Amino acid sequence: MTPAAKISGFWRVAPFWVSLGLFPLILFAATQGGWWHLLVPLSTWYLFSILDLLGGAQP
Amino acid sequence: MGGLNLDDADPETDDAQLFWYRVVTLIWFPLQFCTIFGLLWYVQNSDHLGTAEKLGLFFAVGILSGTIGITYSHELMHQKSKLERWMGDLLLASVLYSHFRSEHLLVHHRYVGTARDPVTARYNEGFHRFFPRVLRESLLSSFKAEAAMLARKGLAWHDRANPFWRFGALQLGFLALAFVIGGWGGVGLFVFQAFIAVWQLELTNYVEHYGLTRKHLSEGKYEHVRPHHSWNAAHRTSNWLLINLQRHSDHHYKPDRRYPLLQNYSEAEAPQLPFGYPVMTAIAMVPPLWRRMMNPKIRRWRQMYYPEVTDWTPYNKALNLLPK
Repeated sequence: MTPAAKISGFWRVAPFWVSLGLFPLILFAATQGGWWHLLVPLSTWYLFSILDLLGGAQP
Repeated sequence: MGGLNLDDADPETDDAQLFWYRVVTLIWFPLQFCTIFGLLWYVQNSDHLGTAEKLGLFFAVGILSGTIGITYSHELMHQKSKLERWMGDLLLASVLYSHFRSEHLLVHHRYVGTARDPVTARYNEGFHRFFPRVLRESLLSSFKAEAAMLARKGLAWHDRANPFWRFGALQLGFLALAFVIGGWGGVGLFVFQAFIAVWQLELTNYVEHYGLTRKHLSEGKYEHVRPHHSWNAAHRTSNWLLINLQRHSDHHYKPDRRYPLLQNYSEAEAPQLPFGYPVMTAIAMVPPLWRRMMNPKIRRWRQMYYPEVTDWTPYNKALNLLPK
């Protein structure tokens, strides 16, 4: 169990801020048009899932 | 990076140490608001996007406002501070689904695993049947729950304390803003992203409790909610994205426990999904594949937790007496 004192460390918190990366992706897609619109759904649905699996989360 | 995260934080951790965890949920609404309405303005004033591209862009916005925005609103609505609850309400109004707050707090948490909870997906119920049923039933059940709460205080359903007034005002406000910025086309794109967001939410709701029913004891009385009444996934990176929503059993055990403190349950204590929610929701869109993967798990779950139940028809068909 992670003690209360360690929970607020930067490396503990930072991963939960990763969703903020979707905003620049959407803005980029808006300026580029075309298939770039798929960036957000693909990264939301699959990128994180692929990372889960790469890290060894076997079904 | 990745893999499973089975580590638990001390659940007694003080709120002050969770400050930066809370900030990301609090700043999400202003960012989402600027993105939705900024893009509505942008697509009206730029000529490089065709109709299909505009729809593609607002599909992406709906993924953002549904997968992340509604998940954050869910975290916020469970908290006691007024600011957090307001931010939760604003996020839900921006996807025209404000009543989700009432449905979730007053119906889902109380009646999960019974036929009275619209969003507990029944065994063998495909998502494409579940989705319209939930859209229909959850609006009604959430309104009835608020009206019943007002009645217990001696107030009529139309009293100004009914949050549905606030829900309606906020949603109308956002629709009006979409109209001012983008005319009827703007309203159409705004409603489209809202629909995509709600679709994402209900896919997640579908996965969270598919086929997991509480035992009917007698005369509309049910066993208490237990850890084995939710589907969990300990997958690390998808839990970053969904702020630990996949630690769902603990959320039902302590609904106001902040997301960094949600606890993990082992395979022996609560059912585990083979993949995180994002993959499971994609599979749910293909009902034959979903049934092939999940129905054997449900049958094993029934054998493990309720070997004494021989006839599951009343659970499968929602025929048990509704809880009081």
